[in-house]
Amino acid sequence: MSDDHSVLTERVGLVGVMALVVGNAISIPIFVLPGPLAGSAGPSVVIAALVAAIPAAFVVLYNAQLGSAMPVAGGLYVYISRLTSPFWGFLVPFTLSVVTWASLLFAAIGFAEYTRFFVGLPADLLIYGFLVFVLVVNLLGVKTVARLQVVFLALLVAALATFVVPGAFAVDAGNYTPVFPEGPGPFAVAVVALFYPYLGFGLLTELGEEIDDPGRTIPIALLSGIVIVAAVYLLLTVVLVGVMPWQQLGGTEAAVAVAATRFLPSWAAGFVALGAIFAVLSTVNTTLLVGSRTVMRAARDGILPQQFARIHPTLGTPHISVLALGVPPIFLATVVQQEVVELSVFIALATLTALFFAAIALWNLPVDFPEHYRNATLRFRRYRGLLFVVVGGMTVAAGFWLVTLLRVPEAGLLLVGWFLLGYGYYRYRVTQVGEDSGGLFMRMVTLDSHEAAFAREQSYEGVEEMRGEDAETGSGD
Amino acid sequence: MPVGRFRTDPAELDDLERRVSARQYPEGALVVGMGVGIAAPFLAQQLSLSLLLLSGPVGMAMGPVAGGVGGYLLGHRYRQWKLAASRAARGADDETDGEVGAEASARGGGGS
Repeated sequence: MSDDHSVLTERVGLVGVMALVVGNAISIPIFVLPGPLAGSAGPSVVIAALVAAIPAAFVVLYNAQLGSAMPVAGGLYVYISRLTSPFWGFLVPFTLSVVTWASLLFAAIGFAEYTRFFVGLPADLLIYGFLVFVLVVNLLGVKTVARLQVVFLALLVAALATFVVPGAFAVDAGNYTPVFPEGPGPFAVAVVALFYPYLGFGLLTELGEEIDDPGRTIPIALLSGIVIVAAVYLLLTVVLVGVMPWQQLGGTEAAVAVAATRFLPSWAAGFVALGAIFAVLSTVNTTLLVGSRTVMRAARDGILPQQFARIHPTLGTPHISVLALGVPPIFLATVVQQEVVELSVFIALATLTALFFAAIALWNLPVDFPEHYRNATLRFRRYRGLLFVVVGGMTVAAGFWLVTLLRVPEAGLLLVGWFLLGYGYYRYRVTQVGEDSGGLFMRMVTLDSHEAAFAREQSYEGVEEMRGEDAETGSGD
Repeated sequence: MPVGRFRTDPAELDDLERRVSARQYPEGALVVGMGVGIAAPFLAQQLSLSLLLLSGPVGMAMGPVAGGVGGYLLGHRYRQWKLAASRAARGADDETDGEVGAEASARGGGGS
């Protein structure tokens, strides 16, 4: 591993990593979900925001350990394929594609909802315009947008503070009762749906090798990040439910901005609504970036067609992966526009499945790659702390999965149906490679080819950067 | 999805085992079993069929678990059978090749 670290040319420090994680986690769902969820679950949505942090804490622990032990790009796919089995690993990019579609749609719906707070444009137009814009930006490269990430995050934090601080003095305690007006069912759905925003913590495992001193930085950023994000979510939900009766929140578009008009002047409420747009801008590009990177990694192993690993010679982006992830939401937009809660439940369910397999991967890590585990800053004794963390995470993931299944069986059927389709494709691919299926298997269970590919990619990126600095000499090829 | 000490070291597998392992029979069967375990109680509920516990919440919660475990075990057995069948086929091929080779060398030997 150390050899691989030596070829890196660009690294992100602790502050940058914190900005990335917190900026990615405090995203559009915080503006979109609490309204409709409060409409069905009532004031219990506040407790749901807190309970949703429990599986998120396990995600953080797993990421902190796996990420610091094996700081590789395309993290989750690599961990699960190498440490559980190739098919479960393959399901990561295969399912991540649907999760990315759903996340982009979710962001587009939220963008339209909050933009309509300012201008009366048709929602369809805003959704399509947004999806095309994101696709084009990601095809062209996101360096400019990435540089603006810190600015967007600062504006987002300011917008949230504008809502939360004055709002804390405007709450009506009567709005918090009854806590469970519709029983425990909608509360359970709210817990699972509110787990979705915590997905941002998975970002670090995808960027592992580009982080400065990952063994130290990853655990610190993750552990302090989850405290910050959970506090922000809790405060926002407490104020939202406290200033507006839950019955009204259910049917209100741009609920956070509308609630803000109850205690803020219109210009300040407008700034809160702008916060949602900042949230979209600070997260949506990382969503597509991370997804395309994972697909690219799987293509390099050969389980997805090699075209997905191709980098555009001029744009320097994995354009085919970006198109595969960015185009379908444009066609799906009309179908799922009203289904924000269902979308988030589906995304959360897919993530909980990944959490389950990440737990098994973590348990296998000290046995399968002991030298990597020795490098991890955050380590537990296998039959003490590690067993507790692994079993705890698996139990929480399985428990949430079953609760969701009881409430929204369609989401479970859809996900398992997608997995079945994935198995069909996986077998087709294995048959296609024929006699080399043993070679494909070995590439998917060992780290050798992956680390070599990563080293090659870093060398390639280094060369590309030098070419960029030489500016338009055109002599590279 | 073998775990911990039950996990096979990929480096110890021969080419036939790797090829059969690549097909991931237990994992695929787990997904099929899980799908059946979700669909059966769901359909029973939709069609208002009272199939003992199947259509209730217990069936809904336990169906995917039972289906998944059952599917995995079946897939595991199938993989063992497939591996044994592949070995037998290879053995037969080798034997045939050996016989053909022996006949050829015998013919060659007789001819010389």
